Amino acid sequence: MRSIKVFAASSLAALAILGAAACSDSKQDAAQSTPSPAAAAPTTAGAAATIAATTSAAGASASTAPSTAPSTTAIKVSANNSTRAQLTAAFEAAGIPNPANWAKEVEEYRPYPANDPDLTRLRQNLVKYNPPAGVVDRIVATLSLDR
Amino acid sequence: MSTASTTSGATAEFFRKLILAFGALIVVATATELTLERHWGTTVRLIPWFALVLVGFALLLVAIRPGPSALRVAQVLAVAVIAASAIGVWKHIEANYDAGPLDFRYSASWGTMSETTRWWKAATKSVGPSPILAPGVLAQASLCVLAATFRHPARRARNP
Repeated sequence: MRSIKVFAASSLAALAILGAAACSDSKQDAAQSTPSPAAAAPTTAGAAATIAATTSAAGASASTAPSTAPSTTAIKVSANNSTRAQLTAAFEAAGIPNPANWAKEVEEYRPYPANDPDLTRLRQNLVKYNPPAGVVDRIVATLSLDR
Repeated sequence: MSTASTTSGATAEFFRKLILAFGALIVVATATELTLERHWGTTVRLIPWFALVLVGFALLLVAIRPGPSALRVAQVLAVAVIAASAIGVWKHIEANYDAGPLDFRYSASWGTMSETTRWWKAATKSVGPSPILAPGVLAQASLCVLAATFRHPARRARNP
């Protein structure tokens, strides 16, 4: 009986820790999704500086991208390994609205299998959010699986 | 012991096992659904998995070792899982709220909506992809545990 109680107590403790971690995640997400302009600028610039520019990315989605495609050079970041700041910077550079929110969603649905270069599963998940036309294509065009 | 009370006891035992079977079915079905949804990757997405382990353990305790202490432990675990279920409902509403600006129907107007309207849309799943009441299934399994421990003969043996 003692072992049962110990197991139950440790399981409850684990659940409580998970709950507490979830709460801290929420606070962190809130802080990251609504950065002050002054605070966001250096982070974005720093992340962008570490991202290699890949000009072929723009061509990959040219047929599906809307006319509001960004004029800045398209950059590609790893779908599986990039930090949220790097994702946000890449999406911002690609002219995707709400880049921080989309970065959070891309991060959430990891990992992405290497044998799915079109990121089908990510597309399926992002479509659930009813994004504006072309946004999912532009997000996927900004991501790669090779880095 | 009279025939009537024996029959009544057998009926109660039958329904107790039936309720436990329903609880077990809920656990298996929920685990399958979570797997299909790939409900992992972040800390908060692991909560239902832990809750499932707890409620599964509680069901086993009631089914296999229904002593007075075991029943009490099962009840405590069930209450904890009900709390986790409530957290799940809240997190789903919150996720829908966060998804508001991403929805093409609201991307332009989300910022100008009142907080009440935004939360209402999130709570009614007018916006966002998260099913609001889905985490309630954990509470349902926990209620099976609580129902199965209600007036359990193993407790009455100790406290007649």
